[in-house]
Amino acid sequence: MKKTYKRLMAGMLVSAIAITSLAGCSSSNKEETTKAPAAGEAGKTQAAKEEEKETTAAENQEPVTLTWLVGETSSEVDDNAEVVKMIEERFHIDMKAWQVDAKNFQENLNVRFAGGEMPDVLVVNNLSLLPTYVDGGIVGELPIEVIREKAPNYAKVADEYDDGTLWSTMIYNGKNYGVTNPMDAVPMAMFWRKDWLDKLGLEVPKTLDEYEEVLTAFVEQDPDGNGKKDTAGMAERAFNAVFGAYGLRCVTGGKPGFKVEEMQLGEDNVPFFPYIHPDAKLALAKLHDWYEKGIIDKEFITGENHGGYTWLSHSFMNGRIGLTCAQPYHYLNTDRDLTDEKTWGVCMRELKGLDPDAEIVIGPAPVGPDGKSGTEGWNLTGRLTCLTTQAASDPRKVDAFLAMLDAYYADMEYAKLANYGLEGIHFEQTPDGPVRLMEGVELRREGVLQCDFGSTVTFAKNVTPEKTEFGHKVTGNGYYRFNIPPVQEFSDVIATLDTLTEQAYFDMITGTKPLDYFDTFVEEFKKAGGEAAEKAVQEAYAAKVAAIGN
Amino acid sequence: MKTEKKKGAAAPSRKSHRGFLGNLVYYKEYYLMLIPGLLFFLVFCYGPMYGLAIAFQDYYPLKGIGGSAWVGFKHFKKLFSDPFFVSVLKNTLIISFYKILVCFPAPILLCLALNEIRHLRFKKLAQSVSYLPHFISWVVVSGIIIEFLSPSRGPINILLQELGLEPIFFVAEPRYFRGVLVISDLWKSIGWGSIVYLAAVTGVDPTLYEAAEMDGAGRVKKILHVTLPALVPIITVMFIMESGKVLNDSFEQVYNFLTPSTYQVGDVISTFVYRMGIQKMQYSFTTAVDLFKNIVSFILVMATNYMARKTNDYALW
Repeated sequence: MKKTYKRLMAGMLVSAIAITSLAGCSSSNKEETTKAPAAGEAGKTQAAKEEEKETTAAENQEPVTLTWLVGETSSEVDDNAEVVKMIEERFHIDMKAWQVDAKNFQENLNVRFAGGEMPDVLVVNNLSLLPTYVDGGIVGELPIEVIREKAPNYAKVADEYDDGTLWSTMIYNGKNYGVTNPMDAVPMAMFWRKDWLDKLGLEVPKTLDEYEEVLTAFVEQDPDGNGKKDTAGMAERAFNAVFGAYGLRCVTGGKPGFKVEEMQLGEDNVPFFPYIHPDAKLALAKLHDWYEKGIIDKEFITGENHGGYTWLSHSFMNGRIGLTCAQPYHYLNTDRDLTDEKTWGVCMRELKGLDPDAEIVIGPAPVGPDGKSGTEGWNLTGRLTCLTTQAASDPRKVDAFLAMLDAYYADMEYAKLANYGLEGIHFEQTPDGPVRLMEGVELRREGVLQCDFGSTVTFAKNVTPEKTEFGHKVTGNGYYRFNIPPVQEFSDVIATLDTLTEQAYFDMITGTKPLDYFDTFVEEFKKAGGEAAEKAVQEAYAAKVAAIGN
Repeated sequence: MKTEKKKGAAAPSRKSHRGFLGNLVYYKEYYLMLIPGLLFFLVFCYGPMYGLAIAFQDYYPLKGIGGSAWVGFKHFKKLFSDPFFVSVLKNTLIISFYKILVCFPAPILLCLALNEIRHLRFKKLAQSVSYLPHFISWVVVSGIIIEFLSPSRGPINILLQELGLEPIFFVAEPRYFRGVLVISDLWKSIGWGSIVYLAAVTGVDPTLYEAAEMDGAGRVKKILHVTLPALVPIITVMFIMESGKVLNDSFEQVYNFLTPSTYQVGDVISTFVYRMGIQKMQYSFTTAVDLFKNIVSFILVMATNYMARKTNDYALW
């Protein structure tokens, strides 16, 4: 026995060694390939920096190196690309870009930081990371007075579109770290099956009561005409519009659930958890009622999306429900001519592929009993762009960065160049606005999308007016995402609160628990740390707002 | 088996007259060959263990292990005091227990059944078909099964309705959820799991079967008295290994089936940690949970091994 066991063990070891050595080979190769450019680049920038120091001392004419990292799809730039040259000449810089593997982006980035490397400009995806970056010596201070002085055009637009949170967003411990941009955020749109409405002779509904009538007809009157009662009104993606009718922000997300980590900023400029607001009970009562009546697809629990691209709604595409909710561009780029395939978004193409006769129409969000309505939307202030400590300590880099920021707001030709590139090469101008001819890494290597600030309000109005106009025409009020100031009390309990809420909400909608359970749930929510978290966020936010006042 | 025991008995006597160092010198080639293997474990398995230190820190990747603050058992306290911890631990244990109960013996039965098939081509085909699900990822399997069990479109529910019964939303119904997990796991793993037993069966000396036939044993008797005893060592080893996985639930599987409606019965440690960790990069907390899981697994493996040694000769240590 022992001997066979030993033999077995030996065999296992040998194969283990073989496998690991093979794996070792491949992974070390990979590491080398990823590391080589990194090391090369680091060496280069180091060398370049030193060289630059000497030359700046000598004649102060050499361009300053500015390294950007704007997002997960990154690529190094080709120094000879035309866009790169144009930008470099304009700002008298040597533009570089950091490449970080998009897979495990955050981990890879942390490893680079831990190794002491950093770019000059860094976009922070998640505000909760800011303290980590500041405390870790990655992100440097950028005083608001400097921004106002060096980027007056940006400051003007920022003031004009300040939703109350803009200037305070990047404050941490009373100091400002970076800039945030006033973004053009389009709220979610309500997509109806037009062929169903037409068949039943119904109009696109406007109020919550009209919604109920139409959706009931979808259940009762066989809108697909197959002789079976196998259709429902809607599923979880339209929940946010029902909450919106009661003045609350609700996010259901890609996988069915409720995103409790996204708070709502009240009209009094005080953030709160919408899910424990007294009016949430009214929205839940409505949803439960609709669930009982069959308006809400019983299978909303497993979600509208069954894999593939997150925003596809399989329930909608397969004709099981007649109403869904998504961004306008997911289905349509314009409503100029719905039969023109060029105007279709990815979801529309899939829908038409499955059912060529399916037609859609975008309707308004339902108006609730108190006249409120709206759907959820992404941040109005976004693209949190920071300077690293390495750049913040070099006045020339600060100046160059702020000049680039200012130009993005002042000169729309430049903004278009940074975001879309050159006409004929990187994009073509169509009646519906510019359309990209290149995507991904290929486009970024050319220097496009490497130093832009995204779809800001000025950009949306001047460079892509057609898309912007269409997006806002078909949507109404938005309940926009609030940048929650990072506090320990919040991050410690948010996962627990999330679980608590999702469980309670699903149970109350399906009737597993009675609606009166809502009061018990609110108590539990507060006791589980929700109350302390809400208070801590409110205080932190108030402190940030106060820091601006000074 | 007998000869091996004899050799095993001979080993201590050798040891006694040569001693540890003497053995080292006498078997130097064997020990030399062992070095690469030992190095592998030292470098790749024991080396990284210093990283466990972050379970006792507030770890920031930017600061590193040297720079992060020590916080003692803070993360363990947080884990044990979480309102969902007890139910999550309970779910993990119950689901694992069900899986051991159903999914552990199943491959053995499949192996015995396959072994009795005389038609070679059919046997190979059956084997291949039973392996196939192993190669499909859980994302896809869960999609197929959710569709298969759908109350409006799934064949099972259509059948139930034909029989005049109410359709059942298996995946969203807390009562059936664990059953769905166990049966889908069974479907996916049974064929693959049987490979190791089939390998053991091929090693059985055919003369034993002949001798059994001479003694008048039928098929069932041959399975009970020849095949099964030959499998006992491997079954024991597999069971000891399986016992270590009780807390290492299958994240990929549960995550893809789980919905808020079934949290109360299906939320397990890994999905719970995933939700905790996703909010913020809580490296320390997740390491603490893993450390806790591994300590429990280690105790379970040792206990099972101890019991195996008490009851038969085939324990790992």
